[in-house]
Amino acid sequence: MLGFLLLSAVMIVGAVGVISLKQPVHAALSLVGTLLTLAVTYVTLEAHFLAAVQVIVYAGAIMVLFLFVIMLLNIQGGQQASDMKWLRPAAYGVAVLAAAGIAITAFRNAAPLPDAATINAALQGGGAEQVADALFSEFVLPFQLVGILLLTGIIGATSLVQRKAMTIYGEAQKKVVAAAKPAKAKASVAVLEGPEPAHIAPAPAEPQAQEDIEQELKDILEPDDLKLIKGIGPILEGLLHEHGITTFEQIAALTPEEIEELDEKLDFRGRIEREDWVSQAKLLAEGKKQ
Amino acid sequence: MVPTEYYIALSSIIFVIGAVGVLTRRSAIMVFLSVELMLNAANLALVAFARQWSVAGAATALNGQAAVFIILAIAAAEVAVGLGILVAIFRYRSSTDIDALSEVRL
Repeated sequence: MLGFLLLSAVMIVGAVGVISLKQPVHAALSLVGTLLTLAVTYVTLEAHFLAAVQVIVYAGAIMVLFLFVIMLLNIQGGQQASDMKWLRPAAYGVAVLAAAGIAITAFRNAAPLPDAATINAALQGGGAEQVADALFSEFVLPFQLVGILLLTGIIGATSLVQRKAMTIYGEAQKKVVAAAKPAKAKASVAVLEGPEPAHIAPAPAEPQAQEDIEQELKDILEPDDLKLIKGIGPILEGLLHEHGITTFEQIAALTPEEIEELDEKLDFRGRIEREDWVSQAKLLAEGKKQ
Repeated sequence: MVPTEYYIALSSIIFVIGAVGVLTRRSAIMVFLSVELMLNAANLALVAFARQWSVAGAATALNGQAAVFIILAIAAAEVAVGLGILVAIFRYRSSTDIDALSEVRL
């Protein structure tokens, strides 16, 4: 009993560390501690093969994958408090209730443990041979399905982290900016070098200037692809169009009051500010001008 | 030998700690670590039940341990796909804050 209490104390401390430590690396190492303790607990439960697999697969392979990703992406801690203040106390309350409920049910329905001889005869230490007997007789179908699942998982993970999709998206964005550039450039060059200044020959110059201004106006008023702003999809774009917002300049020029009004009217729940549409639109509008 | 109900109590404590982590942490990687805690709590309960069921014979008792083995493999697949999604999201947004991931909404 003393050994069990010691093991469970270590396990609970490790689990609390996982959810409370700020740095992801520390939390992951804390989870490794919990998983290793769990492996020892498996040994006390006559599951020796599972204990070995727990150390090799869980504490070994899976946690190394976690640490790789944490260090590869250089994820830092430092989370700010959630917007939902009630969430934390509610989560703790429900957790205590649920744990108490399960524990009380377990203790009230406790059946006497079979004697050591029966346990030994049935589990025989839970070695590889015993587990394999169950795995390849009654569990053949789940075993095969898990194999397919793992294969699907590998293919899925590989295709997810491929750079291809991201590059295509980035290039499409560059093309839009590049396409916007020449038109603008032509317009401004025409203004600079245009036919001799107006005071020398006002009559012929005027239509040209007029045309330039019209071109400029058209460029500004012409609907932009608002979907380039992160957070705006086809549906939101349609809503914005309905309210007369079609260009980056219009979004970039929104005042805080206007944002609030728009937010309420369109039921965006603060998305404009959270996703920072204004500065995104400013950048895109600049890109369009150049 | 320690009776089964103690193991079930321990398993439920680990499980709810994991659930609290899933609910309160904002970084996607922390949510993943908490999900691992919950999976392992379920495994612990299964192994404890396997020992309790040894009265019913070897075939029945070992089902619990075989199920744990299957869950281990599923957890590995889940981690591989989950971390793949995480890497893709991180490249796109340079953050793993799940509260900010609201693009699918509306």
